[in-house]
Amino acid sequence: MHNLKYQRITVIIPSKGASTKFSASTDKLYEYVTGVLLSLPYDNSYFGTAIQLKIAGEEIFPEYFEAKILGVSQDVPPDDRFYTGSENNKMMEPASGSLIEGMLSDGGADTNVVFPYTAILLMRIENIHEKKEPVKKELQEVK
Amino acid sequence: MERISWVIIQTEVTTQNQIIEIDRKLPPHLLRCEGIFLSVVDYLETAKPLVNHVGHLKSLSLNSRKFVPFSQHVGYNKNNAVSKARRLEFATLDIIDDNSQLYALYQDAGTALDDADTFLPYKLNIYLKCIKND
Repeated sequence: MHNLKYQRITVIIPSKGASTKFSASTDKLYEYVTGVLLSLPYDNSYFGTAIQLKIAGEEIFPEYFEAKILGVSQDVPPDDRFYTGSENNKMMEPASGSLIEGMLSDGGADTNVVFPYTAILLMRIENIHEKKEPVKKELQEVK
Repeated sequence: MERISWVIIQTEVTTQNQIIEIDRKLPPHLLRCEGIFLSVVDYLETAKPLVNHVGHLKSLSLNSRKFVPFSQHVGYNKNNAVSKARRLEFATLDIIDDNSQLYALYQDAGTALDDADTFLPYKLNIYLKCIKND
């Protein structure tokens, strides 16, 4: 089994200034959420847009947390686009079917933004502890 | 296990060169705060696309009015909401005690101006990256 998966949650923002609640369950076959990426289709839609996010009941981003804090340009290598906590406090939230819930609130900038638009929340989920294969009997018998 | 707990203090700058006093009791469950970061929230139709200095925190105290040396500017770029690096360049803070009070002064620089040199009011978020126990 692969130890890494990217789980995608799409959130539709219907109109200027609208707030959309979202919820999903993490894949049961993976143990931890280790990164979050928020992608909005237009640069200007990051202005004032806020995300609130909880994973397994724990607050990751409180109300009013700006999307632009999470956003990075396409010049950034894909792996580095994920929010992963900080160096001393790496994100490792329980997955295995846990609830992801939150709200995305559009910031109201309408210059160069077309409504409705679809935001993508990408969760990086992993199995950190690799399952070991059982030791083969023949090897055990070698003296 | 320790985890990050964000504290966001919202304020609004309505007049040019305004000084705003921030006086906030921090949640008691926090172990410490490791950094502070400022952000202009709104989209502003500024005359100049890049304004390096919209305002700054000019003083800051934690732990019973003990002031820590501090200065952090906030800028604005209307053509570049997202950057090439994550915007989490924190100024390091002191360790906070239980029941800490955050006191700070923010001064607007008067540079958020439109084509007619009219001041553009804006919302400002002050992010504290704090640590709590699970």
